[in-house]
Amino acid sequence: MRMPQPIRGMLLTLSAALVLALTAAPANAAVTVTLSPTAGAVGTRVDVLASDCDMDATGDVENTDTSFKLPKNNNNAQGSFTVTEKMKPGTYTVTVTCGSDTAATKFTVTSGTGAATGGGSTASQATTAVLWTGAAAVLVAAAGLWLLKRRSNVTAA
Amino acid sequence: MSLPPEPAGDASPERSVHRPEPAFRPVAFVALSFVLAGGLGLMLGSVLTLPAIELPRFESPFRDDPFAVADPAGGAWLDRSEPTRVDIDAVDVHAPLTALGLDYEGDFEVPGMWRPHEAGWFEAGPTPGEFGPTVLMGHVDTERSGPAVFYPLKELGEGDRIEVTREDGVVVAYEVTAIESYAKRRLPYEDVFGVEPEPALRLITCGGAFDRRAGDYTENLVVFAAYTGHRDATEKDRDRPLHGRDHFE
Repeated sequence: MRMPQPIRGMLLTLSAALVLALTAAPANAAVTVTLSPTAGAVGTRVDVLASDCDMDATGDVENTDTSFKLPKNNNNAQGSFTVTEKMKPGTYTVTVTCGSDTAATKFTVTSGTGAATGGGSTASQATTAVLWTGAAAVLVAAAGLWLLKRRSNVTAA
Repeated sequence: MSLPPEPAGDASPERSVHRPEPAFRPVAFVALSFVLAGGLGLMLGSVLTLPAIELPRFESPFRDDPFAVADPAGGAWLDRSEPTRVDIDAVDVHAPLTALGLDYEGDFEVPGMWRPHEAGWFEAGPTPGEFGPTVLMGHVDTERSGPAVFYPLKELGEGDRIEVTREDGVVVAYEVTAIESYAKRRLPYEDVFGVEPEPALRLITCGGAFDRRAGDYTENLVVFAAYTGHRDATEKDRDRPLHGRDHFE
């Protein structure tokens, strides 16, 4: 949606180049974990990417019984988990173990609603303005209709 | 109202002045009826709160794999450093940032109503310049005193520049790519909290109608912005004034 269209050919060459570069150089870059999305409510599927993890990895969500697998995908490991009913709102640490390396990041379980970012002091003005505009229109129309009727009586006389 | 032409040598002028053109009366009658109906509609609409219409959402093909085009390790992204202020020159926003989490009900925490000049950032997520979406939240208005820090967000347009300064003195620049309004119950977390090919910024405030019974707005206005670069703060950046509480009184 908001992502630009991928250029498949370019991506393929790019990933091929990356794989080549990685096989040539010793794979000692630190593993990093990225989530998408980084927050969500019960039922959200969270994709997990362990960058620079060149093997199958496992993931755990702290203080829950949720664990998941991250199969190797090019030079990364990638998997996903789903937020279960048991996970109460709060922030959870997601840890990925990649061989002897571990890396962690945070996921937030929310109630699923938006943010209460307003008190309403400017909203009232807008609705009253609309209300008064409507009232004025009704008054003008009623007065006009009454005048029309009155004048038709005069001409009929 | 145009007067009808005087028929020569007809009855007294007083009566003919008051006689409308034959075609004028029905037209005026219909027009005034429409105005009456419109006015009544406006009055009703301002009193009743109508439920927002939800169009079905079509899943993005990237939903299957958000990392298909995003490579968190593939760019020279910044390390973690907390944001301290946000500047949007286009709409005169210069606000300090506070760290936000969740409240006891699992809803998003927001800055205090008594601090209308302050915005916040979602602390559990990425910081500006780090890979992933940085989320800022701020009030559109307060309970009494009128507009608050993110009131002018609705005036933002695509391409407007947003700058976020970090604790380490780096200024991260973004460009507005989209402004969307969502019903609060259906906030699309995959879009707001999902990754993009580069670090991203989202500004959230309130929109839609104000539901007096719930004491809250029905919608969230979300500004989507894309990373355009970062620089070390200059003397000019550091001298920029922040809007204090008195700016909103």
